[in-house]
Amino acid sequence: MHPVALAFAAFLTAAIGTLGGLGGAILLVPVLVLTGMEAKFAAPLGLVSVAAGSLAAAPHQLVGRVVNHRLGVATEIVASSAALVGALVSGLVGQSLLAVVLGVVALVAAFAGARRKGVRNLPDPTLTLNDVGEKPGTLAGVYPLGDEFVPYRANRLPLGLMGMGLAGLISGLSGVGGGWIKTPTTSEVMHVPVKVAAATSTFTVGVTAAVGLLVYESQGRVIVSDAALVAAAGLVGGTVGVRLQHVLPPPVVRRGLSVVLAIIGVLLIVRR
Amino acid sequence: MNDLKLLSRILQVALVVTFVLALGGAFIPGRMGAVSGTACIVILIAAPVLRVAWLVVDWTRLRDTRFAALGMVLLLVLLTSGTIALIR
Repeated sequence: MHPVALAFAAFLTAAIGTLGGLGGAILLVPVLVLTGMEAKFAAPLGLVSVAAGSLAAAPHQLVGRVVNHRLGVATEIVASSAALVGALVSGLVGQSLLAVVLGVVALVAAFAGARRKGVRNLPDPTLTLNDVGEKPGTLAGVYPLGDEFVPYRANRLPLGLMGMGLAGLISGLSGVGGGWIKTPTTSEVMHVPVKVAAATSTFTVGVTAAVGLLVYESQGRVIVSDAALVAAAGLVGGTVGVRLQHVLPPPVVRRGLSVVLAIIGVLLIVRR
Repeated sequence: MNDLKLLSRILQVALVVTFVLALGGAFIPGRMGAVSGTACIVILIAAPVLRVAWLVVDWTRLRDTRFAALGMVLLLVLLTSGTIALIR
């Protein structure tokens, strides 16, 4: 792939991935494979894009106190453990069957996000800027929405953890990040506002990508010059994505996320 | 400045350094470019792990012991995953 095209693809997928908390690898890896790159070299570049997007988003999201780190850490334990199991048994599952399952999961998540109308979590006029952030000891918090402040609490934790386990398992089996399952699970199953879900997912996919990159680096599968180009473009894309996430209304983010998930679902099923 | 704001500053610096190293890795030919690109990847791997470790310390200071313990468990899971994957 031409370096300019590679940089552009990495920029775009990191921006979309950070905006929706999807991670970007699920978009970048198919693009790279479709343009002729071997999957074993495309997967590490996907993770570089995810890690770059996560790092680019981190300073902005930490200052804005949008990420719920407690929720991210609690769910990432399950996701990372399941990813390890998935990686260990990945040779036992047919890649074609896996692609169809992934595609159906993406389409279901897209439908779930698109069919919901309005905003689930409403602003509370009694809250102020000082209330923004996580509530220590709980999976609750408050996030800023324009000039208002919205309280939320993660519900249906067992079901949400099952979703995170599925995301981790699929991530380990397929080699792509699980952010595109984590964000809809956090938003639609656990009823966390989509912006908090996307920001929290952007944090956790960076953690998962770090371990994956370590493995690929040790296997000599990282082409350093390409990875550096993807990292540079991914850092810029991630910075743009997190700023868009800050200004766009939640329903727009949710519907945009549904469209991207639908594209991912179709891509996965067609590509198998 | 609270702990998360300080972490944000550190990650902001890491972001700029990583970007410069990435540009070096992409455009400087030869060994120097390879070293620059590898250093960029090392920061991308280290940054999220540092963030989790920072949160563990922060939550321990706040006496939020339950989540500090969960953070420790996550670090252990990451360490185990990395070790198993590397030795396979």
